[in-house]
Amino acid sequence: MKKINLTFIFLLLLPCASAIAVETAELLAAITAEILVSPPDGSELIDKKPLIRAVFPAPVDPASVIVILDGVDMTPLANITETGFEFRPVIALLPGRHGLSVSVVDREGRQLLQEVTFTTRTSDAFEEAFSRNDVWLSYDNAIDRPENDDAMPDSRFEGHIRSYSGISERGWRISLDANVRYLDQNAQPVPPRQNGIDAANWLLTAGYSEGDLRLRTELGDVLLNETQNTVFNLSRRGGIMNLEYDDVSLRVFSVMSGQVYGLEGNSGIGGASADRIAGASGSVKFMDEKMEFGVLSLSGGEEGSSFGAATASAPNRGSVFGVFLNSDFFDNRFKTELESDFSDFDPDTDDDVESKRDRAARLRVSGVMDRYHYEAAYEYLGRDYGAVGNQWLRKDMEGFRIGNGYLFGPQTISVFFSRNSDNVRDDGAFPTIVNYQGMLDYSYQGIPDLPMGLSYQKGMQDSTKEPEFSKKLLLYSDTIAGRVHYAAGVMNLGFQAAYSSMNDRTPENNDTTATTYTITPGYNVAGVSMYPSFSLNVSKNRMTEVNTDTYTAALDLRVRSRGSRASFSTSGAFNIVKASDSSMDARNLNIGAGITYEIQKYQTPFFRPAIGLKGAYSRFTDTAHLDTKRNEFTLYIALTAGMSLVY
Amino acid sequence: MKRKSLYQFFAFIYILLSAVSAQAATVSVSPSSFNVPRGSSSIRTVSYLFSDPTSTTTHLVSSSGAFSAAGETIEMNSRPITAAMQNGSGQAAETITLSSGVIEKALLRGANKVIYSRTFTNSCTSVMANIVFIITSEAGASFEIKKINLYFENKRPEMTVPKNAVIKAYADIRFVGSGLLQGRWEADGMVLDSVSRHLAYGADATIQTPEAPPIPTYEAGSHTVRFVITNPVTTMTMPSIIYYVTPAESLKERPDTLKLNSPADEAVVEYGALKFDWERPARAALFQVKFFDSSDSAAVFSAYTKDASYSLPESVVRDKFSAGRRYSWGVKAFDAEEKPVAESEARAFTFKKTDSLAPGEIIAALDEAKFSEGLLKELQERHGLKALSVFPLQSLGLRAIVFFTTEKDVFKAVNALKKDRRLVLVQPNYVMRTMSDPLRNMQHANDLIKADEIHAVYRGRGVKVAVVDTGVDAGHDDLRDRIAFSGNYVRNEAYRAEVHGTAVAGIIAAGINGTGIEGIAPEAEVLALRACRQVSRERPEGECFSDSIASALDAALVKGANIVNMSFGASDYDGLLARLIDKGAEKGVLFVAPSENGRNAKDLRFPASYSPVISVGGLDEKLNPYPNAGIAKKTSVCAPAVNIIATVPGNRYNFMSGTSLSSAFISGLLALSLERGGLIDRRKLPPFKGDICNWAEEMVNIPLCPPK
Repeated sequence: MKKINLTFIFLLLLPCASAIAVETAELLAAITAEILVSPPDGSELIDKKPLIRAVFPAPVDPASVIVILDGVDMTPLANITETGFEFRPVIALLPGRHGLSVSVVDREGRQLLQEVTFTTRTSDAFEEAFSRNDVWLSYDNAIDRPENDDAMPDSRFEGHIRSYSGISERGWRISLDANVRYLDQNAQPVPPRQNGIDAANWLLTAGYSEGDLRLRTELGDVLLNETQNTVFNLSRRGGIMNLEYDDVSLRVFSVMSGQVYGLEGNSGIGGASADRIAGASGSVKFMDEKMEFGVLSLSGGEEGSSFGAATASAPNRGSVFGVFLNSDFFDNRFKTELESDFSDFDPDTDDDVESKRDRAARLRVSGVMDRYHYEAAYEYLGRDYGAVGNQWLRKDMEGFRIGNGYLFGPQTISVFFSRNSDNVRDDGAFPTIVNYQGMLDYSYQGIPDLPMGLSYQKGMQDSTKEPEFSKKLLLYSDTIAGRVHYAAGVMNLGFQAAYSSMNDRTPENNDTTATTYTITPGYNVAGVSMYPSFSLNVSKNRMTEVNTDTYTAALDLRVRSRGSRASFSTSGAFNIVKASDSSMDARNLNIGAGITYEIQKYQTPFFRPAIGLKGAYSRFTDTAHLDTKRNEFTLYIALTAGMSLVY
Repeated sequence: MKRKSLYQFFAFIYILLSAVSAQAATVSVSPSSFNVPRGSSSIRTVSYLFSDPTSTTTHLVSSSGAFSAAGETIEMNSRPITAAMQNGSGQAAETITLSSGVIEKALLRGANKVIYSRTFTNSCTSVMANIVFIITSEAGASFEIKKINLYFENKRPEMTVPKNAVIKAYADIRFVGSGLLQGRWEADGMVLDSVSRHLAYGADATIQTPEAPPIPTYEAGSHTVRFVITNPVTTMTMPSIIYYVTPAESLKERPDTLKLNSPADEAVVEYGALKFDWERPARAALFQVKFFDSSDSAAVFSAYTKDASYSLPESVVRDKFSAGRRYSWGVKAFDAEEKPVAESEARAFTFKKTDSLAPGEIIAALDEAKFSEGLLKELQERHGLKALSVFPLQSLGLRAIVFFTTEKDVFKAVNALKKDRRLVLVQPNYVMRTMSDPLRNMQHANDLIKADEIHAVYRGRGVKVAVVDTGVDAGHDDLRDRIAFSGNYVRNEAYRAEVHGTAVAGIIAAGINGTGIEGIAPEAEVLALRACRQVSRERPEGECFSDSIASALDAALVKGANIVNMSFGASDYDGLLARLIDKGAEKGVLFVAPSENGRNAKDLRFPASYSPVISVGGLDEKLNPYPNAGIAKKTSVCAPAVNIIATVPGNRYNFMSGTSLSSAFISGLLALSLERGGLIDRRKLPPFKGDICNWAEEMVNIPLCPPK
């Protein structure tokens, strides 16, 4: 603090240096070799773009000056002279602590470095206080619509508020991010939407940090990430509390196991355990944070399908206890992950069979070395292992996988191989199926306007030790796919082709093949973008001798003339599905279009109204099912408006 | 009796007709068997097809179904099914849920199959249908979709996006068995894409919406996206997800592409300052340049600039980037309102490996009074270092330690160690190199300054010149009497005679003894301080580390050197050496160092670049600046550098070139001047006007040069 004050005093006295008192001369002499920087070290100011300036102790070569603010080089933006510099940040600084580093070489060849930190606030009351609110309104009124379609409203009013607000002070920080919607239409909305006001999603975050202590609480739509064999990348409604002190962290969480929309489920942290996942985890880092050891425990239940997800599985319930040990001693070159989990899982709570205990284990090593990256893993998943909230885990499996990728010049090559087998308990009631998967992917970008790639995948499943009644399984699968993209100025053209086959080598001979060709031309200039696409999909079932061809033609066109307030957009698709046994012969045409004109007369920087027309036409026929025919046209007049309120 | 016989006859006919009709009714089930996985419930749909030629219009009813295993009924399904018969045939469908509990009960009885049976009856017939469920693992099960999960890029089934934004949706599909998945993406009921993909058990199945056509986002309001599975047939209701399009335009919609110019993609560049440039797009007012570590995509450094180019400063390269490592970079352009207008693709570059640092070595210094063995041990343990050598720097009152670190990025280790406040200095152990090349021509350097005329007056008597260099041959006939002290400061080596140091010492002070050559100051005393080692027997170049040079400079100051000749240099500023030079300069010691030898060199090397040092450029045989005029202008003075005859070990002589020799020449001249007038203020040296004779004339104050 002493240094800061002196520096500040010196800045003030610069114009009248001769008047410096004798008793301060010694102290000032001690700092004359320093670069005098404003804002001074440790200072606090209420400004988003503070003026930053410096005075050098002696003339310097301006080319030697380097100004780094929060780790970003600002030198090119500063007005630099032989005696100092000044600039204002071009992007507003976030409130909080900032680090400024100034380095120069003086005429004597000496390197001088001055580093200061300062704090910015948005107001007296709070270090940071912000609120960004965007309001959008839209009103549609039908000019023409199908008489017999009850799902299509005559009129619809939709309002949407996106609000992101927060405050912070003395290490505390609270923020709320929410999307609130209002819907009013005279037709029954498609669930989970409903008429009235609803919060599409929301997240309340509160945190505190001081030194090595960090506390963070999230409530609302959170993302839960524990370990791969427990819950991983799970986006759900609920709460997470995370406490970190130095190298130790603790976390408790409670979330709903199903996805919800709006205010359904309230905060998501209370209620019955049958439809939620709750647990705690803790970890400690050691050996200079190169190793991390952790434990976790969670339990709960999942009832079935929810918003955005459908399942054929029954309601389940269970608990998991896991331990993990991760290390990274070689700066990402050789990372290890070891995980062991123990579960007590009931896959169907509707039956009278009790839950079962089992375990899972995983060892993974991975690394990145310049242009090469690799991964190798051993995995074991017990026959009865299960984790609520992670239905993507395979069961009853033991094996390994190896993946490598190498980049040499414009070429990239990736190789993957895995081998695993099921029936890990060697139960005589089941066959043991060995599963091999291999993949080779090559891409070439040596011609900048013509990137291309090719990939090949091979799989094999082979059963052994088949018990009575169990059929032999011997299945080969092959997929080869190629892609090429050509860009010529405003035009581009993509072509993709893929052929895959599944060769059933048992007497059932249930072979299938699928071939797909896709052409995607594109045209993009200022104001106009046009992206049509054409695809043909041919699938063949050798056993039933039925071929199914699917033709799809689609278009996405957007036009906005420069300087004009009008824009036009359309998209459409025409689709034909035809089966060789005449079980299907369907044609499906969908076209949507919209024209919008911004009403200049009422426009302000905070209010942007627009009027438009939007229409849709759909036609569906299936000659294989004569009673299936649909022909619909809709036309709406649309009014929209947007407002922004930012603090 | 007759009546009894008649009753018996009708009874017989009834039984016969019943039997005939019962045998005539048949049922076929499709499919009649499934492979189902244990550990989860399975839902399967079957069709019953009935045939009964004897029946007219009636119904067949099954009140319940039964699951049995090993001949024992283990669970009942009490849901009734009715099949309407018409013209001798009829059909019914049933969705059977085989719970994991039923499977477990079968397995407990030692059976690996479950038979599901239903008996259909009416008033005159009865028929039984059986479906076989063979229990197997997930891999061996019949192809079945178990779960589908839809989400957007935010991992949620709901998203708010601006108008015309490019968004994507994903479908994670959990399945058992293997087979051909067929389905389609729909946005508001419009088919975007048809999907036909083989799913082999064990492979991940995440399907995403196509690049073209994109999900329509031109219409404000709420919209839905679905992935509809058509094969395998599933009873699940396909989920949908919601996106809300705001009337506000997306700024990210197909941004213009910013074209990068240089360096070329995958360029391998020198480890040092580097310039990046690109084309300026329309409306661009500000650029953000970002550099990423190619291995973990973390941003290493970034900068803002208003120009369409950016020069990465050398000091930032040393601090944030590592030699021999690959990085990528990209540029984003903003308009005057700070809205993004264009963005470049990422390009990669690799910094060449550098040999300007001693691998893994760090020099740290602390106050001599604070040094102890305990502290040294603690420093090693705390920072994971190993001390290679410890030496005092008496002139600074410091104790220096050379540490070895296993950290590959030495600058990273230096930055970590800098946080230890007990250390007053931490830096890498830099490698400097001498600046000479062997040649075999004649030289006339001494004639340029009329050395004989000067020697008649001044010979450098009483002046101590420290030669910090490779080892000087103290036994050379031309140097034997001139070496006042010789010492070795190269770690783990003994003193030895080498070419470069011997040549430099000879140019400065070779004696007037009737043999060999004459030095510029033939009676000066030489302190031969071996801080550099000759890298090969065939070539004279020396290599010197910061620690050795620091020790040698310290010795020069302690032994009272008046001039210190440092015929070496490096591109890095060396803080430790700068401190020692400052200390000596305070006492009036003159430090002399050569500029640089590279033909295209632009900047002085350190220590010549350091202001207290007298920097010396070269002159070629035609007295033109050497190695080029640009760098010569930055020096204090220039002296002959090409084809200089010099002493070499073993009483031999050779021709050499390089600014190392120019430096030695000037050190000798300064020794003459010192003899003349005592102290010299380096800041008051006469300006060099292109003629070394005139400069020497001013230094020794003797008329030497012909009038112009």
